[in-house]
Amino acid sequence: MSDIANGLVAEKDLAISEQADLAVTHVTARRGAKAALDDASRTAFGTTLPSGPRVVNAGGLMIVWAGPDQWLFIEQAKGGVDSSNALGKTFQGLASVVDVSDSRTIFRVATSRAPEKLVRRMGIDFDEGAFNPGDVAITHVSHLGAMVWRLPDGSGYDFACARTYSRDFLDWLRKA
Amino acid sequence: MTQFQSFRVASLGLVDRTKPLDFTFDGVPYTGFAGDTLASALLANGVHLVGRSFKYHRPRGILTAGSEEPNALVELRSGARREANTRATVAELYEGLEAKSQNRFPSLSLDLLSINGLLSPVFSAGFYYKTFMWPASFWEKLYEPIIRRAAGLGRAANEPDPDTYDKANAFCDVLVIGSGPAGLMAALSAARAGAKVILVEESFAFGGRLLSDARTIDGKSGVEWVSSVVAELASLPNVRLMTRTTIFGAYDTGTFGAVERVADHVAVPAAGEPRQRLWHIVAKRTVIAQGSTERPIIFGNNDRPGIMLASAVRTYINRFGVAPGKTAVVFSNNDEAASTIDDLVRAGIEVSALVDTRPVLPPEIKAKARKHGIRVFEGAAVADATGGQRVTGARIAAAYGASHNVTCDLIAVSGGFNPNLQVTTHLGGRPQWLESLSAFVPGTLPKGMTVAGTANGSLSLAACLREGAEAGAAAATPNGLETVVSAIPAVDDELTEVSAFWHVEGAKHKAFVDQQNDVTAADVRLAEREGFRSVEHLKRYTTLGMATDQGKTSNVNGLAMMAELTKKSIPATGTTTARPPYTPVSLGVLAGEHREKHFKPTRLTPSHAWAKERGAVFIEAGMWLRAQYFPKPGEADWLTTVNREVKTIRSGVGVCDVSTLGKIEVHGTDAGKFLDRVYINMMSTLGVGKARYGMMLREDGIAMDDGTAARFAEDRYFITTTTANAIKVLQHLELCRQWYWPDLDVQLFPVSDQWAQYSVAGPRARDLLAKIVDAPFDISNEAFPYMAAAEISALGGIKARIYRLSFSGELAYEIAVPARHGDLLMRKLMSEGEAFGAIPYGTEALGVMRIEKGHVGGSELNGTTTAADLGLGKMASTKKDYIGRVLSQRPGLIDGARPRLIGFKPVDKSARLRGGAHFIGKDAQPTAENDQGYMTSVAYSPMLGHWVGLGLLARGDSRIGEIVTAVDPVRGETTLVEVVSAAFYDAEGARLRV
Repeated sequence: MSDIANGLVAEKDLAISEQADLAVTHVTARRGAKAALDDASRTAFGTTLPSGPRVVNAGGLMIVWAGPDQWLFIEQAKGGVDSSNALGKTFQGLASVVDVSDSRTIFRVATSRAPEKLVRRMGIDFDEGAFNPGDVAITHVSHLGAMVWRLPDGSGYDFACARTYSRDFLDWLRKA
Repeated sequence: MTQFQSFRVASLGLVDRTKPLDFTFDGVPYTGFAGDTLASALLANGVHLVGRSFKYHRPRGILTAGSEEPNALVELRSGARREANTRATVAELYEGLEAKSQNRFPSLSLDLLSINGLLSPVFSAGFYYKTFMWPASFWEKLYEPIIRRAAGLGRAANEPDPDTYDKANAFCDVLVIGSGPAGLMAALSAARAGAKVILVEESFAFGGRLLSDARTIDGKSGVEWVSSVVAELASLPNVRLMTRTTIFGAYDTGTFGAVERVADHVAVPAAGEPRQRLWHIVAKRTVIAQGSTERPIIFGNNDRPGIMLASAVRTYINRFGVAPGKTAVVFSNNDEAASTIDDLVRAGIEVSALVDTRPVLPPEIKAKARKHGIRVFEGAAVADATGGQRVTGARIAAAYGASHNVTCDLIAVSGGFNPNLQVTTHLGGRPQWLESLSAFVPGTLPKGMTVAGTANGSLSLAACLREGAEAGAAAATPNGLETVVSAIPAVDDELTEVSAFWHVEGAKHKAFVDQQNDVTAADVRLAEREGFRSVEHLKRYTTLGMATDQGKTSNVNGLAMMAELTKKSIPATGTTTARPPYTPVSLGVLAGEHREKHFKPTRLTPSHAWAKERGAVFIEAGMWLRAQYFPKPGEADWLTTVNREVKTIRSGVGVCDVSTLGKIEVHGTDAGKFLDRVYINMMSTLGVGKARYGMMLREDGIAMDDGTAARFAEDRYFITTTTANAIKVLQHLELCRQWYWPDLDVQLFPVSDQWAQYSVAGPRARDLLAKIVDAPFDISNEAFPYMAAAEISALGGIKARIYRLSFSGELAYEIAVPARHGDLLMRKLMSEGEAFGAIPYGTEALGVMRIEKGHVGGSELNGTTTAADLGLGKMASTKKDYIGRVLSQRPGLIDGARPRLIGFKPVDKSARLRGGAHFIGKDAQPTAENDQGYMTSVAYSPMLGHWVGLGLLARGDSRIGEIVTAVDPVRGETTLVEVVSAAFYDAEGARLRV
């Protein structure tokens, strides 16, 4: 009876895919260097770094807020190019930069609107209008730490979790 | 043979008579209808005796029609789905329902343990503190098992629960709890204002008391009005309607816990459907509209089957179309209950007396009684009920000392109403006493919470509708804006006067205050005489209110009795607050899907797939599944395998996956300074390209964790932690960074999952790794000595790191590559290693070798030991401050008599050592007074050919050569052991540096 909840989105099978071959770099501002880091980012990528839980696209690069003065820089891995090394040089002295490409697994759910089952399994308000394109949340699902962001163009959601939790995480996601 | 529903009232009730349902109670078949509860269906069949009481095994019936029921607890279902203590008053009837009475022996009608009632002087309040005391040894073996058999409730299932449980979250602007008149109006007002509303109802149908009382609203029946409001709510996209859902607790920041009974009303959940669902509901505002609970009056034999709350009688008549008796007495102290005579007459039940404690009843009620020919006793009380398994009559103590006996099989009793304010107190709110209602009403409320209707102490229907509408509108409206209250429907008038009355003096029989825990009026008097007068003492001494119903029908009565006995006012005596859960919550729904293998995540190491192919035996280590050992065909047991692994490593080379270690990057210009403050030893002096062993203490001076720190640049360290403490250490460091020393320029990055890291150990380790690392890296002893660290590439261009560290005491390295290449690296190590006889090894061989070397592990870093206890005191720098330094110098921690880590070997070399064995003097008696410490780790050393052990022994480091006795009381073994150096193998460390 509870699900005479009105206006439910029709449940469909979720299109879940693991984002393979990503280069993911964790960037944390050095103490007091946020402003200079923003300048360097603007010069290099044409955008400042989100100062709150938002994700921005900069060309093929996605910059995801990951905590105060912390970001994940995510792009497709390019053979022979060490993205974190390159970022380390760009932000020399302004940020600490660590390659975390193998630390996290990122799943993409390609849907413009999260289905009800997924909405209610999230511990944050994931409803339409509450979690908008470009929003980021650091949360947990089913006792697993997770980050989630809605793609800025609204075409889907990315979920990031620690690599060794990804089997359990995917199990949870599939149940949703 | 199926029983006929002879107590159905043809013209009344909301049950669906086109849908008969078969069920059994204690094996007897009955029928009921869709829309019945088990209680209403039993009553329809004339069954009143449904259980036996907790302590005295007294026959018990059905007191209420709701979740406050103290008596009618049954075992529902059977086999793996059997559930104890299910309230028949809320269990929905379904086809094939099986229920059994509980706590009876051998049967419900003949319960031999009812002899306990005759022994009641023994079972008085606090009896378990006073009796069964001697001899003390009898308690566990005799007294407690007997008491547990005699007292108690139902039996849980003996098999695993076959059903699944789900968890869900919901967020809303306005949460309305309860769907009676106040709740429905609140939801309607809030929804019409555009707020996102969730309306939660405990029962399977919306409406609350409007389903139970014959009322008229806006010219419609109450039931019709409910339907129209629910239809409007259901049509609004911003409303979520939830029935069969109980809000069981209020938590911080507007969070509420709720259980939705998704499939409790069917025999077996549909495929893919959970049995129950746990909801976290986060609400900006909440309207509590949970109504009230009627309370009984305490009189003699007030627990007999057939004695029922007046509101429950009306519910059975009006909602379920059931006559709960043939001849009734109404015993009340308030207008609402006295008006029950209307409902009784309408149901064709003869009313033999209306007994009211008030000296003068309102003329309207007296006129009704007169019209129906009902005898009225004003200023009177039912002093005792008669009957055993069913009430047969009432002894009425009338005014001026007169006594009248009347015959009846139903007593509808009411002592007034307690607002259901439990949820308002979950966060510390204190109720207030409202004299005019003789009840507690909500006092201080958590932010964002309002209360409406009878839950707020407003008994009239008009007030409920108005308060609900106002509360809903206010909750939906952001601060500062004018609220728009929905039009309030017109209703008929009613009388709502209550006059306080708690218990009847002069009862000849046991009078129960708490029926579920069998607490009598005499118990409350005894508690008062013995000085347990505080409400908290009364509760704990008598167990009043401590049963599964949390005293919903008894707490205030008990409190009022104590107030009378101590001649204080009720508010001066105490108050009643509640803790979650509001009603019992199953453990299954709290666990949700986190059971069995889903209890915690299973983390796999990067070489897992390869190790599985190789036939490894795995062991669960925390959340990790690690290779324990790699048996070869023909090896008889694990010890044979492990011995072979250790010997091969110490003579050749072995590879072990150590990726489970915690790994943290520590960056920033102050990284060295930061690490100096968290490790006991210096890290700022560590050269780039070097690694160092380190230990961290807790603030209290006890060892927290050990690991290594490697420095890759002036501002870049990489540290490892033990597998078990990976998360704890990261939390600790983040606390230090963010809170203790925000002035330091330090950044932390958890990278445990980033790297596949393998230990390559043994004399041929260098030869093997030379095949793995890329040129121009020089792995020679000169270029890359013991405790060196480097960032390199391996396997033809893969980013890698290499550390010359050894846990085994052999020439050893740890090599790391990004986790995605971990499988490749392991396969490559094994294929290249063939030439050197390389083998894989698991946690067992790792453990054996570390014990042979006297290195500490989790058994020694056990939260009781200091660095000095572990023989690492000299590592502690005296040139700097660090966390734990000050408290590590406490007298208790520097006492020379503390147990120190030391080695042990058996005097008889063939003897086996046991972890956990306690040390006593050689010829001492095995008593606690003679305890000198215990064995922490043991292993069979294949290199020495006998068992070796590490242990904590008082002054152990100064007792080398002494013989002590190791006593293992669990296995009944006593072994003489010699105290020796913990470095059993290669004490000089010569093998490390070659």
